[in-house]
Amino acid sequence: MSRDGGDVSPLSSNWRILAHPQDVHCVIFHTACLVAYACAFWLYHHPKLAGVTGPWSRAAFVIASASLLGWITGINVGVNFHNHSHRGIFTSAFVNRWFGRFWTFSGGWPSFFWEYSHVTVHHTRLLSNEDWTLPRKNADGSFEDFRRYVFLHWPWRCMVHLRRDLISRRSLRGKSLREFAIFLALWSIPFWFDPIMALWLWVFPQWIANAWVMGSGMYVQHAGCIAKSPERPVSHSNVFLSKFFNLTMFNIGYHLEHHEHPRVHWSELPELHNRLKKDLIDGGAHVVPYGNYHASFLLAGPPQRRIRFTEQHLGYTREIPGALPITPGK
Amino acid sequence: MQVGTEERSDRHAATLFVWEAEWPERQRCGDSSWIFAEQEWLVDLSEMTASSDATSALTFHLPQAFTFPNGDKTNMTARSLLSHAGLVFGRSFCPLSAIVIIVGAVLWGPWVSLAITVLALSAAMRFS
Repeated sequence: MSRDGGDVSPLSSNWRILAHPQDVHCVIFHTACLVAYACAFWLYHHPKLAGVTGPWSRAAFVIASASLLGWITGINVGVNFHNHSHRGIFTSAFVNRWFGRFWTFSGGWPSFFWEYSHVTVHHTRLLSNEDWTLPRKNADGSFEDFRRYVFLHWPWRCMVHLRRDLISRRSLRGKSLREFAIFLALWSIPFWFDPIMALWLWVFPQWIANAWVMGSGMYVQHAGCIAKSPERPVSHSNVFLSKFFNLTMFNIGYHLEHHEHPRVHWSELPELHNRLKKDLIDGGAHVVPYGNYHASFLLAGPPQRRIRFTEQHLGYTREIPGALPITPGK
Repeated sequence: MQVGTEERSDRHAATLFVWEAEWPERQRCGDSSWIFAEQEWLVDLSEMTASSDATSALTFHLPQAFTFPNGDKTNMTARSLLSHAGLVFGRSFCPLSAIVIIVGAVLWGPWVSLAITVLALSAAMRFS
């Protein structure tokens, strides 16, 4: 049925839930994440089934489960919900809003807060001094140390900025407090069953998700970048071309393309990348053949390892007639 | 970005042609409603990246089944189903793996799950 009541063809009047067919993967991914939490909670309360016989085997189970839950939650909120925040996956605004609330609570975020920090702060103020979602800058313009950012950003810096931007602002206070109350009601559910379990298999994974998965992702996506300008139009983000990474991470590796055209659907980013390839090469965009994880490994290491991040994908080097090949890192 | 009227109409016509060709197959699979959504997104992307050639978006959306020279529709459907199943598994690889490793503790115990987790995360850091 048409929302505006106008005439529509019989085919287009079929009731659609999802805004884009590929968004079914977003729903499956989120559902699988919640199932993973449920499995971990259930096994925590049935230790004999999981082979937990004492404190050490319980520690092994908790560390393994929390690491995995943190890893997938970081992707689920930092990439999967991220796509939803740019472009709702459902055709109904009501369903989008409520599914969003049930999406980010497992990552320790009210959906409105995450959406605000990403869309309003990060995208519109990218790499400026007002973009507090990114690492702070050193005097030479480079990012602060990787570990410092990862340990200090979530929840500490986030809380300070979100309080100042949302809670203290009269125009947004009511909505912010309402969203925070909904978040608290959902987020507290595991604590009702078992507070100790909630700490180990709910809060601890959320710290891993925010600090290590989302934090490292934000760091590497813009490390070594400069704000967009007419002279350097494609130097604001890095591009990660690992096929496996992009298959399992909703094409977030095409980050420059995403910032250039945030309304393009995530499944269309590889095609957009192909179309923009010449502009990327001519503009000197930083393109690497691996994904965020390996980039984090490089940037978290000593200087001789960090320098390897500056190497360029061989298929994306500018050909200057008569120029000698450049050896990166020297 | 502005798109020339002629170029845009050519692109839309070509898009419609492709979708009309796919239509019977999609209709048979009960996939009738999303066809228009796909068209909208194709046009959307075409308009946002108008500087590039008009045909690449079309080849991107063509199902691989259409490349079959013998035109066997049964094979095309099976291939399409396999492709979709593979994509579902690929896109949700991380949470599905997590479920397998967590629940796998029932079969092999928590220490093996921990070892697999360490190996998986190390491999991700090294290779992906």
